[in-house]
Amino acid sequence: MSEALVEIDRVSKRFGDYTAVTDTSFSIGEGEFLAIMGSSGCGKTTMLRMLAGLEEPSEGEIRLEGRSQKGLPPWRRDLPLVWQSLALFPFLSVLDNVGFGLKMRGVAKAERDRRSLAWLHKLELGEFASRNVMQLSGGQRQRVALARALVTEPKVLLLDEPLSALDAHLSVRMQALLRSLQRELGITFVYVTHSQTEAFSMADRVVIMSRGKVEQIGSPQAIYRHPANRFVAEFIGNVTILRGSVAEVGEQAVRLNTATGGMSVSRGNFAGSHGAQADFYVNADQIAIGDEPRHENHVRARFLSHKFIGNMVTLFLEVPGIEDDLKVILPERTYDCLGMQPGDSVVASWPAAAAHFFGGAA
Amino acid sequence: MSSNSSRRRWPLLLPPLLWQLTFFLLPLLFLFVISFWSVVNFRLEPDMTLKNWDFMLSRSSFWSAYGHTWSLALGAAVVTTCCSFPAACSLAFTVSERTRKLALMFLVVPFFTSYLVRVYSWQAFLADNGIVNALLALVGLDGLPMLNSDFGSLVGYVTLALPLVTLVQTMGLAQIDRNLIEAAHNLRAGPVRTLFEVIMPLAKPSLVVGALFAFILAFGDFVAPTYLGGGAPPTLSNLIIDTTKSGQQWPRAAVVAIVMILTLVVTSLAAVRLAYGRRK
Repeated sequence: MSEALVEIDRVSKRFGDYTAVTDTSFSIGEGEFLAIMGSSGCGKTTMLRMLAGLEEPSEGEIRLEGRSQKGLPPWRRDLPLVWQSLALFPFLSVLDNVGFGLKMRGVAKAERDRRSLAWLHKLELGEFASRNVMQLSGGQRQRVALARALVTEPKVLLLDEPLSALDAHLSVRMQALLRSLQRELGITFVYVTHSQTEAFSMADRVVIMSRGKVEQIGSPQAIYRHPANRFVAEFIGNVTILRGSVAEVGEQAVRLNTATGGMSVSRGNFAGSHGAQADFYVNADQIAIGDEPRHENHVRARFLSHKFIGNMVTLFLEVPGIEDDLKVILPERTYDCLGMQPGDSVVASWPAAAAHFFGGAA
Repeated sequence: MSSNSSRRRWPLLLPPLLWQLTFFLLPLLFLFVISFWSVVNFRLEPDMTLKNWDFMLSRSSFWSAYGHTWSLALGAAVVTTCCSFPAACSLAFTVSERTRKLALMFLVVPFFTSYLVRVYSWQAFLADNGIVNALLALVGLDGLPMLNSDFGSLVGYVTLALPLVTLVQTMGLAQIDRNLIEAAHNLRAGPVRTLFEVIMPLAKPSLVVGALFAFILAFGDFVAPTYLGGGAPPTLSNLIIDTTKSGQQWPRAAVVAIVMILTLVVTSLAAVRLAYGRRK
């Protein structure tokens, strides 16, 4: 990603009394895979619709290659969208669906059939060209929608939760396909989703939105390791948030008094002073479990429950004095070796480097 | 389970079934039968003759009336469809849900008054010394002959069919998935191209069914061609009236009626095929 291809400059969108997007700014680089993630109603789809020109921002403007898109109707923009509902034309064949955008550009029939067919072959749909779209399976239709949007070779492709209707297995395959297509074509993808798996597995950068505002923008790693605030931390769900009062600000670490005793937290660019209350978070996959403390921060906890996610296990521990459960992520084999039973008393410990203040480490 | 419940429900179908049998199928059958009867001294007599069929179908005046009726009905279908479509589009796409419901309600209001009354009131507008010509005279233009012409008939047909056709079209257009329209815009189709490339194909069933309604209503109507068209040249409905009035020729009128019904059946089947065909 080099210079900004798309700039979103202080954009707001209101529908009557309802504000869908509030004063939002960010830019999208050329060839970047950007995911906009958030729960429903966070404004991510409105953002995408404004990019496509289907909604006009109430305030602010969107620039494409430095040109303001203000007042430009959708049919004069070059930002094809892959719809959540796919929005394929039921009265057209697969081939004519794909060729629709070319037809609107005045490309002659022979040429547009050639280019459409090339895309269908690329997405392994060649044999279905003359079929009606209604005769295809969900995954096949998904690829037709993709071909229809890509056949005009746009600079930016917009995708609105395109995989939400597919089963998990198919979704994973489509994710791989999308990622490799994006790399191969060098097109900028703007991908709206509520799925953390989709966003984190494909995107170069992720924008996390909530209630019409951007909460954090960063690489999946940066967001995973260093959530900017409580919302992102809870949304991603891989940390436990603790609170304490500052006892001592050291060179590398800050010492806090918490309900479960003294704790050391990486200082980062923490600016608080002695006695101040501060939230910090502990990364779940950097906590050790055992009978003895292995790191400087440690708590005695009761093992409540666990759940498997792939080959990792998330443990939930009850710690006296902490409202939320302490979350610990362990490799499945490590968990197996511990041989814990619900109700067992264990010691959870972590180094100061596993604990951070919000926004402090970026 | 389902066969059991359908067996228990079939008596509910009896009243409409009986109604159709008694007041539609039996009279139709009777119509067919009397087309083979004779008229002796102005009285119907049961017979088994083809002379009524021969008499009607061999006359060029019958076929010219047939052609005239066909072209008038086709004209009515086309004119009504074209007049309704812009209104249906704005009702379906641009106005609020509330306005749409209100407008659809008002579309039913014309049916509160008799069609005959509505046609008579058109006479006041279209007559040589009527309202339209008076307005034309005001701005110094010559009057137009509108009454007792095909134009007059068409005005009547459109009056009859327009509310219904608008209703059918609006229902059809309102069902169109908005995402498809936005998808067309997104793929660089402007409003006009979207209309022709996406909205019209999607609205095709309601457009065809609406036009078919207009065609059927116009094809069988005798009020408009009589009171606004002047009855000359005659339509098939004029022909039926003339035939029954002159010499009680009910068998000949039955021949005309059966030809009309057959025409409408064939046209309807063709229209339904056009509306829903090629879609699987």
